[in-house]
Amino acid sequence: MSTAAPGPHDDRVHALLSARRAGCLSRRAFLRGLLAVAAVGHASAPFADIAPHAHGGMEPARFWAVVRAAQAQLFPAGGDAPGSDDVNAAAYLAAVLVDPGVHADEREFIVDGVPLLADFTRERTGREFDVLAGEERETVLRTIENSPVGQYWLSLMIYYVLEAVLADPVYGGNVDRAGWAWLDHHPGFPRPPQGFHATRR
Amino acid sequence: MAEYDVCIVGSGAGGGPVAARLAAAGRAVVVLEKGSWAHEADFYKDERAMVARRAWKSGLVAEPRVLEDRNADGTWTAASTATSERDYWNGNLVGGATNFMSGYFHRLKPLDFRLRSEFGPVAGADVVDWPIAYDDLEPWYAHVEHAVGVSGRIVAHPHAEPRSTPDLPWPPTAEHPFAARIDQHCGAVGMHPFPVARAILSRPQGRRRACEYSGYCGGYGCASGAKGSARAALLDAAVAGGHCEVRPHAHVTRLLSDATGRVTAAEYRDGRGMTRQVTARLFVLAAQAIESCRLLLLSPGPRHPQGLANASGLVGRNLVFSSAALGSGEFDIDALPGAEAAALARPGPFVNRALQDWYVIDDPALGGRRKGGTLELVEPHPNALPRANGLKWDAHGKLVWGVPLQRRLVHEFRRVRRLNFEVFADWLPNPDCHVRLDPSVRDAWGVPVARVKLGYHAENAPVAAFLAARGEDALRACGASGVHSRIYDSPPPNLVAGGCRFGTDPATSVLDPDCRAHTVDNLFVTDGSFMPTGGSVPYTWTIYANAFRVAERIVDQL
Repeated sequence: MSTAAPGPHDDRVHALLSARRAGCLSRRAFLRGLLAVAAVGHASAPFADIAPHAHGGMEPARFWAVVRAAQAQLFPAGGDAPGSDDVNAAAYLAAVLVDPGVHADEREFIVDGVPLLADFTRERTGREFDVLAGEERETVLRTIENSPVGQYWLSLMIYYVLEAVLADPVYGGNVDRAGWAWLDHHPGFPRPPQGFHATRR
Repeated sequence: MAEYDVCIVGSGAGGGPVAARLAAAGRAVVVLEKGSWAHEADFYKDERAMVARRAWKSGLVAEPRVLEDRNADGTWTAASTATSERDYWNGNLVGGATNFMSGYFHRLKPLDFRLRSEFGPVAGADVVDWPIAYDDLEPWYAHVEHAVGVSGRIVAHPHAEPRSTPDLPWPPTAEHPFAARIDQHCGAVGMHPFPVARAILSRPQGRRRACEYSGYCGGYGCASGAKGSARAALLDAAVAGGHCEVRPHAHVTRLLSDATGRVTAAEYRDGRGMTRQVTARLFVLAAQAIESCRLLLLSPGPRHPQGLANASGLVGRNLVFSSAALGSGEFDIDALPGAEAAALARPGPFVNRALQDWYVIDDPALGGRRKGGTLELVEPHPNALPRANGLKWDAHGKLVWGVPLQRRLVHEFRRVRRLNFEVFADWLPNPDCHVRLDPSVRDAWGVPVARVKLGYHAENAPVAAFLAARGEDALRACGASGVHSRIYDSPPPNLVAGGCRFGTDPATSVLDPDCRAHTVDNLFVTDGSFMPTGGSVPYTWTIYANAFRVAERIVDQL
């Protein structure tokens, strides 16, 4: 994965992603495999208990409410730091999810993680992720991080918030250069007049 | 009757000089380039596009390669880059990878042409002397300084190579504040830092503007034309002169040869997917080492059953990369002198310093006299995304997010400035480092892809580690804290050479000393493939110089 720095569980997850991309695994077998990795690696891993069919069919508004809440936990506003909402991170992610320059499997994986997070939160707390207080959200996300799948999903979510903080504003994040101004980052010139759109991989 | 005098496959450091020289001699030249034809106005400092979305590179899924890596237990794992997503391509556009080089220009040294004689054989490595000497290439290094545009300042140091001219034609580019710090503090501990030549114009030349110091150089196309890409420096003028035609989107799939063994045509797929041919009297292959080897192996003919120029079976063998280590140290910006801190506020100027005090190492701990390498001292690349993304992992492999991640970002971007080093050392040619055709994986058009075995000779490691330790010494001498480094046994794709080594004996080399295929008298290979050993510096200046040398032989022949 060119976009994410390697984590301790990435090798096993990558093996599954690779098999999936090579066409050796059906989508369902792929997800079962991911869950199995979680179960083997961590007996108490949260995603291991969730059946593969449980991740489908979220209402879009629910989906994005969970995404925004997760992003706000991963990158909160405070002090002089712009928060995820300040850099338009949810809309930025929406664009990433249809960006042909990002591998389709990676985009699917990000999407699939959202209902998994929502379901897990509901089972654990009886409430929706986005109505939890900050400390409760943190507990849920740290629990999820204990599974390699959950950690990998979180690592991608963090990465795309960082893109929203630091990529050129032509891509919809980094509103009014808020990320660059916060970090005193100089972007170089000439800047792109419009976003680059990859056409193939 | 052939359509052209010369057909060149590839438009980078190997193809550009040949096109420029032959066009200047009035020959009809056609250059076939797989990628598109971008110009200065097309290059933006768009980090997301260049770093995260691989702009101007071959598609990972459409054009995979298979990479074989050695596991810790000695077994090998092969993976297609279509599934691993390991990015093993350089530039896919007119001018090739030279568009994206940093342009750290070093010549090889006289002893690099005779490693076997100087240091003796190395078990498990196929080290040989070159069939030419430094003196044969020196005039062409000097020629490149003017033709491509090299800036800097020549300073004597113990391992400086001989020169036929006193200094470089362009004055140095603007210097980063750490350059003076390095000169003072490394000099005080007996090291000999020297200014690094850069293929970057410090003053305008013709249509090319001078460097504008945007800070985003390596990995980005140059918007000012200051960087000496083969396109900006050579091809634009060759095309304007009327004797050179560049065909972008021309992906050469095969070289056709006749019953006498001579190449008659290049077959390529154009931008619309149509198969076309171009005929010429003479062909020059310069598609970068891995693809040049692949194309030869894809081109058997009546007299070349094992692939073009491959009677010896050596095409693809003895591929070399650069043995590498990277290090970094940090400076608390509040603790730096005010003027230095202020000057560090913006990226742009270049550190441009290197150390070659250990180009030859004579240390009992390393078994006596042996080949060392170059320590390049560099400002960190201003790219923000990789730097920020690396901060999300803690030392225990757990994710960092929320306020702790934001604190890390503030520290990295606002509180410290870094000085880094890069080690360049010989990658010993060995039987486990080569290119073949993959038996099963094909590209999107059904053509077998390159299968690259990335065998690292164990003797590379102690040299890289030695140089990394000296790099750490240099950073500490400069006052850096938090100094760390690591050596790499998995090579990046941008420093690649060999695979068609040149020599005098057709049984042990693919090309003759003029880089003509031993067994195909109208085929030359002018990218880095010819190099039997890589030396301990980046390759681009040597590839440019050798391509000009070979171009002169071709002019003599036509």
